[in-house]
Amino acid sequence: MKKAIKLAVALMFIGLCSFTGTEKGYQVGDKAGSFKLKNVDGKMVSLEDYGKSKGVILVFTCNHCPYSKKYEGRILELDKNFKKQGWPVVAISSNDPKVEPDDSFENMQKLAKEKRYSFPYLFDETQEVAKAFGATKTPHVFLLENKNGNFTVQYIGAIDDNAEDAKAVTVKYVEKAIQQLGDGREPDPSVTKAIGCTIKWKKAAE
Amino acid sequence: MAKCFVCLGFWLFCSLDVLAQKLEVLDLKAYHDLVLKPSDTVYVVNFWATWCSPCVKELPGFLEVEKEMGKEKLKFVFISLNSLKELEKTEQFAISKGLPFPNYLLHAGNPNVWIDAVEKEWSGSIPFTLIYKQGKRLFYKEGELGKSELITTINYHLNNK
Repeated sequence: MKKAIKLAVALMFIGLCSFTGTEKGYQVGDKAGSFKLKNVDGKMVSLEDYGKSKGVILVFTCNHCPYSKKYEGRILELDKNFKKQGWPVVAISSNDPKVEPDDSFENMQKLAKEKRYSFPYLFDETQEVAKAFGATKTPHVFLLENKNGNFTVQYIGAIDDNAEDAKAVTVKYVEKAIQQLGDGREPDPSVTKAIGCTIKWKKAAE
Repeated sequence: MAKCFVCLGFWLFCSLDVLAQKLEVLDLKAYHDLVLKPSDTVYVVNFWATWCSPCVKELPGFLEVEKEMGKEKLKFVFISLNSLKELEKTEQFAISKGLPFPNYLLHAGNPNVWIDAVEKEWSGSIPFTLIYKQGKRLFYKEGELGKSELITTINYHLNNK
């Protein structure tokens, strides 16, 4: 009987650990799972669509967050500069529009049109992609390097070191990481703290 | 004549009051100087911003606790993460919400340096609340902190020698 209790406790503990493990999301070096999400143009976009690129600059962002707004121009610039080098931007909004109406799919469409987004802006309605990656902020970047069709997480964090003022930036983390990968090195730093708003999770059904 | 003096006094008093309602800008060193004091006072530090809706939502609870628990051996320090450009706006907001002054705005350069310097385990998201006593960080919580949890935590650290 005692043994059974011990086993049950041990099992519960393992269950707890694995739960917190998945909650944390991907770490640098992990293979990213695939996803398929609806773009603002109504078409579905998946990671497999980027099989020929060197990698993907995956940015969790949104409409309403002041930090996302501060980075809109810089995300466009990343796409402009790095798409031709094989690293296009893919943006995802995972916010619950019930919490932030500005982040509804219709408003995403409006913003993408207004700002002339040159990259897909996908709606993660179920929030499963954000959870799988362990994205918590907007903007929150995951650099995914394409290794023979396997997308490996190489950098997680902020775009650069100054959200307030693009002109005062001293380190462009994402650019630096892509350059280092191009040189055959591992990004350093490979993890930074993303500065921004928290992703607005769905409220649990009451 | 006497009336004039009274008026003048009143005017001075009012202007002093207005002067006191200024947001102080902190850098990292000033932050540590402020919270790491070798005293028995419990410092409740709350990081917030006007644009952060959960932060704004939790502020009234904090203010109620401050009123109910008194100011002896307990000090609330509200630190805004609004940008320096928004200093005036944040000041007005703090006044309208009845936040106690002095009241602060952190301007400390690269967040990937100062977030770790404040608390290594902190992802940088707000609201974020810390408790300091005797120059030591005794508690931190990322995310909303309810009134009853706040009271329990403060009591624990007030009574714990």
